[in-house]
Amino acid sequence: MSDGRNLSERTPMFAKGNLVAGAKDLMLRNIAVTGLLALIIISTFLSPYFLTVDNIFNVLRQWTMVGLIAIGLTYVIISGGIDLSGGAVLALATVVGALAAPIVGSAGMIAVVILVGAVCGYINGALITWGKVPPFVATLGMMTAARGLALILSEGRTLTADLAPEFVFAFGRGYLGPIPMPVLLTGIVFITAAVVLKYTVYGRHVCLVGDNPVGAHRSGIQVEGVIRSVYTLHGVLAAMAGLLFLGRLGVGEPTGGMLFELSGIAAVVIGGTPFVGGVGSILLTFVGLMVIGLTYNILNLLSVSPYAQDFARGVIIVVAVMFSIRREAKSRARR
Amino acid sequence: MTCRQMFRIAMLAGTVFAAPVAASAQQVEIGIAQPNLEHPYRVGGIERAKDWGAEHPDVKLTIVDGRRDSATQLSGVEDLITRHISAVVLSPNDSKALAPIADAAKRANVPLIIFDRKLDVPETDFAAFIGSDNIEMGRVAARFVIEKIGEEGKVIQLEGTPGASATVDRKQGFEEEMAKHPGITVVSYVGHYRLQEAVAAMEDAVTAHRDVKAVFAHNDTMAMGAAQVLEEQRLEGVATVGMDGAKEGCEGVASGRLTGSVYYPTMFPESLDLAMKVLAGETVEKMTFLDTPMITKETHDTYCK
Repeated sequence: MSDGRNLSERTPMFAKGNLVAGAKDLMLRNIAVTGLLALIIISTFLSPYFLTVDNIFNVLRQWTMVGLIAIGLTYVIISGGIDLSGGAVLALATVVGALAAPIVGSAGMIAVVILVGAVCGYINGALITWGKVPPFVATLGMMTAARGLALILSEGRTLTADLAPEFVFAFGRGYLGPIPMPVLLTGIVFITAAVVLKYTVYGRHVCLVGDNPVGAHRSGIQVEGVIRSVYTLHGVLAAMAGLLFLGRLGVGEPTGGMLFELSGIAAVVIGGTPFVGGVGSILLTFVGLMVIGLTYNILNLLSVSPYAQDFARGVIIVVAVMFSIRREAKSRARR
Repeated sequence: MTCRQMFRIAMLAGTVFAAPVAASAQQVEIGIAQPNLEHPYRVGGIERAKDWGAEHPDVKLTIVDGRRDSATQLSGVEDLITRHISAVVLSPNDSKALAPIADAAKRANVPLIIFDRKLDVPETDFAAFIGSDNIEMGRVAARFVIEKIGEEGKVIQLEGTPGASATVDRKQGFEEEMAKHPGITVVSYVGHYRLQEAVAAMEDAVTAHRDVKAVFAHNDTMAMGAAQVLEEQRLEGVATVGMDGAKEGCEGVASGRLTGSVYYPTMFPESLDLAMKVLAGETVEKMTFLDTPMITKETHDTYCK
């Protein structure tokens, strides 16, 4: 990946120039954006219910939890790693939250849950940097262990959480105008994460660590510290997703968030972030997330047989990634 | 009357005071092998088994967790048979993979009582089977829905994990019965027996089908999720029917969020009573099928305790 081009050349999202040309460039070179637009246009024709404010906000709210995990995953994958523990940490967070809420109140519960997520993420980072465990294996272990811990703490049951109405409003069922609160919160996190990745020194360090760890180290960057920080961030975001789960559904579910990490990874790769790290875009991860979310939605709205849906989703994910990789290769060949 | 009361008090006192002492004096030990201990249905069964155990201080119950893995469950039960436990009450993780256990039990002369899921062996190889019929449950649910909404309308079906035997059977029974009513349209979505997935599927379902008259979910968790969505979207008068009737379903029916739930017996304490009869040398029915009645507001007190 170290072919000397900077990010603004590699990811069209950041290309300078006038807006129209930029948009055209974006459409042509990024299959995810084109695919999303095509999906929206086709779906609008297929179902009269699709392009309604209610439906779009439903879809956005359904995918807030996977979205938060996908943000964490974008950072992790850009840094050259992978994290499989998102769904399990989410489940652990909901269980801990449901247990903690009656004891420490809702504000304290938020703190405890975020701390649990941070600890899980930090352990992943520590295993990878100090323990020299490959990220896939370390986070696979965390995935299994966190879900096990969630089952132990809940004794295998779904726990009904005793939550303050303010918490339920802010994290789950409330609205600000037409916008559901979880969508608003997740939107803020998306924008913050995008700005941090693109405009801060820390964000640049994450990219450099993924692109060229040796160079990063020689230029004085704490490579291992950056790696631990991205896994911790991922853990915190997965725990935040757990808070949204609690707010919306009102229960701690040890089997909740099953396979969310895989949907998150799919969103990241459809958004064009390569597995080898070094580059990537939070906004394109959002586009990838919506490609998956709207695919689920339109198949549901059309009442397609549930079994055919899984098949269709699998095909769409693979085709989307195949095209985004081809585009990448072609654009490189042109240079 | 006084005699019985005295006996009860003595029993209670016995449970409280003699429990640690009794451990050494026990002769009967029954092993309970569940395929996993994380599903609410399994957890509920174990809780009822423990209640039964408290009433029978002379019987020791040993619980074996299969951890959703046939090999783990197989070796766990083999260990019980090796130490010549009095009887084994087993719900196999997989009907074929656990089949060798029947032979081992027979050779060691340990009576084997199968519950909930079948074991793929000849009837002579186990002492008794106790279970319920998931296909019949689907039919019961369908009949209840018809009773509530009449002969015409749209019904949303929230299916469990595709391919699981309970899903296949419940779907089959429901759809077979519904096919007899041409005015009814069934639209299916998958909720994987989980809350979050069910809520998401239901949101999409009611967006496309605002004229829905009833929701039938393959378990109570999903039915409760559907009820939440209906509430949020202010869709009133939609019948919500779940399945299993464990704690969740009972609470749902009691609070009025579920119109009904098809009761699926936990098989406890019935399977343990069956084991005791076998151990006492009584002849028992080879195949017992427990009823799967509808839990509604009216019948709630009978089935929910």
